[in-house]
Amino acid sequence: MIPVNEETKKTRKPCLQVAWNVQVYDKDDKLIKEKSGQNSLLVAFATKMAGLFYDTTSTYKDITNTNRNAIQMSPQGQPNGIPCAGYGYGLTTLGIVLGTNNTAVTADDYKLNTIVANGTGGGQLLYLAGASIGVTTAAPVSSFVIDRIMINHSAGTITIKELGIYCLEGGAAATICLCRDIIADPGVDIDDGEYMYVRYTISVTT
Amino acid sequence: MTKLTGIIRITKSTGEIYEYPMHSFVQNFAYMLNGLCNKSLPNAGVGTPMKDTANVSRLAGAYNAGVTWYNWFYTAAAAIGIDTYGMVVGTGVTPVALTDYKLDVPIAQGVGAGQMRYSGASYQVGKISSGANRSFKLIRWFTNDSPGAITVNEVGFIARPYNHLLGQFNILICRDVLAVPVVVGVGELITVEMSFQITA
Repeated sequence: MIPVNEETKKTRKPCLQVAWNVQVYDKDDKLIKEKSGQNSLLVAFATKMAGLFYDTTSTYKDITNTNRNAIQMSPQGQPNGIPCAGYGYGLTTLGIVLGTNNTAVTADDYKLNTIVANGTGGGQLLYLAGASIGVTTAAPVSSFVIDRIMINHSAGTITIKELGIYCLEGGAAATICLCRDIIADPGVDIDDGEYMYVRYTISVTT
Repeated sequence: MTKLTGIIRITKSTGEIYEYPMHSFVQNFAYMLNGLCNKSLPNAGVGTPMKDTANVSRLAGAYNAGVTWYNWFYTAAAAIGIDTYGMVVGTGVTPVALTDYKLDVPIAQGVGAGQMRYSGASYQVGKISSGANRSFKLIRWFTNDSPGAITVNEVGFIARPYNHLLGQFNILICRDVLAVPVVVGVGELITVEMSFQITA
């Protein structure tokens, strides 16, 4: 007899939840739009996680479509982790990023399809520094937040249809995409003078 | 939409296979992950302390604040006989709580009553697999050379993060109580696998 629990096998729940929320505020800081979604971790995240345990040989792609090896943790090695919070103003290579293309997510996505550049030109947003809110626990959930604000001073409307988290690949000076989420049509407009507050909540649940 | 799922699979040397959905990362894991995400947190760590397996409060260091290193060094490759980190098993049945910092009733390494022999841990060759569902797997073997049968009711993983300022300590990051206990007879061996998978 092989008592495999087929039923629970079929209904596996995520062991790590990643939820996103975007809010658009007007010039008077009034909330005018909001959308939410969840769970679009990519292969790169699993590979980074494998590296945290031991792996040194699995490869995955950085955002330039270049293969990178998962870096094993070692006191003699490079500092490593999945750094994606606490990075500065204007960076679109680290932290939460936004895009305008909602092509369906696949596990092998390695970047946003059409990222919104930093700036005040047409189709650009000003990316403020990303941040992180520490762990809070309210049984059965323990979670923390990574967040960022992007302001539209482009003189036009920008329609956001995708978002994700980029992180630094330790020691390799490369950037990888941990997760990518899409916002269904018509997306979320950010008009000139408005800003978007983006929040990712990472949680575990017993 | 893609998601990260986990599964625990226990195979007995007698051929029986037990498979369980794994979903019990504990609060410590959230602290660890939060620390790994942060570049600019102070070396003193982040947030409320997590607990090591001795119930001592520890700080989760940031990724690279002042060139701190932070890693889970060799946790998946714990050596033979090590029962203080890596994959561990126990006999406890207390339901999982987010604040768990150790197994309820850990099974110690050895051949005495209630003890099991811990093998060296392994990291499956092949690593991240190909195809639609991409996964990696951690494996460890446990042998019952004690005088009596042992019932395995819980499985966990103890990470061993190292930070050159904070030190190194053993941190339980997940614990699952098995829906169906696994009775390991004298002389029997179990293979315990934890698989993490990105799946559509």
